[in-house]
Amino acid sequence: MSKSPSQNAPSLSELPDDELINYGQDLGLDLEHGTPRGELLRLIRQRQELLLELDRDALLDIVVWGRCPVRKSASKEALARHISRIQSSRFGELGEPGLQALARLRGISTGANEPRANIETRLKKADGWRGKIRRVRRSLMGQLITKVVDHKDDAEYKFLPEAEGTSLRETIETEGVVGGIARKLRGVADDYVKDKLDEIELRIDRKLDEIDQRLGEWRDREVANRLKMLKLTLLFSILVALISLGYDYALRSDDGKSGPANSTKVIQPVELDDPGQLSG
Amino acid sequence: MNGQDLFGLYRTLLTLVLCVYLCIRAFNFADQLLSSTASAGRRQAMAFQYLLVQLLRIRIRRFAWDLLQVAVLLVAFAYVLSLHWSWAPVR
Repeated sequence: MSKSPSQNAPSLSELPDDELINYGQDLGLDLEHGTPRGELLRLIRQRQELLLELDRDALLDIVVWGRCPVRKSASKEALARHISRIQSSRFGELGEPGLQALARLRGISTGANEPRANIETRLKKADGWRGKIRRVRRSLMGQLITKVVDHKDDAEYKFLPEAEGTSLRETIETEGVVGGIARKLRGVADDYVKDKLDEIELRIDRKLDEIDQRLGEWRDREVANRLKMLKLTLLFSILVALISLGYDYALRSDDGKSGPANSTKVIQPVELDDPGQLSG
Repeated sequence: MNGQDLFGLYRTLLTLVLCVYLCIRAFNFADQLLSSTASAGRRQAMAFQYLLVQLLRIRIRRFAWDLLQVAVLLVAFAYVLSLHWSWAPVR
């Protein structure tokens, strides 16, 4: 069912930007929103070409090393999807072809005769200091937890069982030619529909996430606008309160000028000619 | 100005009108909220719950600077209002 990159090319250019970014990230590319469409297409096609170049066994080596649950018949793109999620840095257990392929998938160009230790160092450096801190933290946590829970996981890696049950020959033997072929075709159709439904479900999930993110952005913008309005209202209120205060001050000083102190009449002493006038 | 304090009258009336308006709007909002939640169907209830979740998911830290400005403006407003009592004209 898997399409080759050349068959994917027309549908790839028809995909919207967000789907392109998700697809590229699935293939292990570090893409950001806002990257020009042309650049996205170029990077994804480059990655598809790289996947064509890489040996399938090398990719399977990486998947086994990373203990990813895949079928042995998985396509290179499916393997790349799993590989992009591997975060282990214990490269000692990975074979030479696998290490070379992993380095190329992580954007590190390696020489044919480059020493293994050198590639490992460059892979670890490519993780950056954050990756290093994360590794150390997880390693410490792992040590602590395994001290408490004594869990040994040394079982040998096994691929997932293939989807195909019985062979066509066995089906025809048991159900006849028409019945056997019909059952086989139905099985293939069922698988196809199942794959498509999974794909549709994934797309719906991504769309829902996108809608949620956009609603969150809208909510933040709305809150920011409301806060801005509140600030403006408060500023205006303070301005009005200041005018009111100035009015109060003016009224108070006016009252002070024309108040009792200034309006009091000064009583002049009266000179009395005859002191007996008061008693009279 | 004796007995004809127009600005004082305007100020009192404005306060009264705004307080009444605020009470009516608050009551109206509460009434709408209650009636919409009480008579909401499944979809509306889900939308309302989603809205609540969206509101709970607001990151306060993102609006910290704006909230600080609002707090400072509120303090300044309260201070200016308190000055009215100390600068009030002698009656």
